[in-house]
Amino acid sequence: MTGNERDVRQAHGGSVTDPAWEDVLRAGMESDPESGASGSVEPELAVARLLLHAGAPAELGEARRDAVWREIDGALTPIPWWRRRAWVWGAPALAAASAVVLVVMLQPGRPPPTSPLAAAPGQAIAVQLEGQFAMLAPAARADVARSVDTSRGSMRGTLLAMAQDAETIGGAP
Amino acid sequence: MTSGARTLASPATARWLTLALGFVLGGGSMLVGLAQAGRLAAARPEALVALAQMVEVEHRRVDLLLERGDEAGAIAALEALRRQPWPAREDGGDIGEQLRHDVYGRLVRLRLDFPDIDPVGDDALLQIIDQGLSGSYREVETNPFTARLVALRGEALEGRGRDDEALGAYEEALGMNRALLDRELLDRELGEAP
Repeated sequence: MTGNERDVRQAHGGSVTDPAWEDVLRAGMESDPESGASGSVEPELAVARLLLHAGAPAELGEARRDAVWREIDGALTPIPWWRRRAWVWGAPALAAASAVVLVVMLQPGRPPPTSPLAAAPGQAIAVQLEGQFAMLAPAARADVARSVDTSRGSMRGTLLAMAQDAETIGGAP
Repeated sequence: MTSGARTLASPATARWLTLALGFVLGGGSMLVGLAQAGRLAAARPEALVALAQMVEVEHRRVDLLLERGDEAGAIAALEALRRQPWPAREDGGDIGEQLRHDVYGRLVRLRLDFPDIDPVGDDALLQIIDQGLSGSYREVETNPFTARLVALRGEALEGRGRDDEALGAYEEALGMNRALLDRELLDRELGEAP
């Protein structure tokens, strides 16, 4: 170490990690040509920068180091199934499809098929039966009327017979 | 001469006339017998005749009331008729039963169609129907009036939520009507046969 360099170090009391140190070193070389030094200090400065660069990991801040480790942990730790990308995008689509299927199957607004008459509505059967009655009733009424006429004839015959008996009995000597 | 010829011709003519009359009476008796087959005849024909006349008059009155839009009057008239004493099946025969089923059926139809007029509960309506059918309706010769009352029983049961029983009543009524339609078709085929 030359006396000039020692002066520079003493003047600034700084370490080589200080970027201003390079400027001070260059200024010292230019102001003291008699020291026998010639050429440039750039190669030395490059070596110093390399050493500084090599020592940079040791100078990482706590926050930066924690961030790096978090990234490493994240890359190494397996992702839980519920946080995987397929689920993030697939779950809403699956829920929507399920809702559509439910709506199609349940059909809100239509009464649930709770009775055997739901398949063949009782109202339709009742209407059909009323239609059959309307078709069959006239002939049945005519049949009833004929039967009543027969009974009327039978009743008339009975009454006549009773009257004849009474006449015979009344006219008997 | 003329008188003698008449005297000679008369026995033969009389014989033919007697034979023809026998055929007519026999045929008529056979038709009446076929019509009455399986049907209980009225033991008291006068009761049946009186009942039929009363029912016919009331039906016409109800027709007029309905034509005027007086459903309440029609229901009241049929209710009054329903409360009349009805002859037993032995007295009025199957025809008497059919007349009763017809009246009850018409009343229940109106009550189901106009539930707000003189309303009765579902249970009371079922009681009316069961009273009309009287439990022995299956013994009565199959007829449309009984089938209709059974079908109306199905409607009343369905209104009460007793769907299984309602379905049974509907099926029974449909079976009766099917039998009646088959009989009607058979009668038509026999009537059209040469």
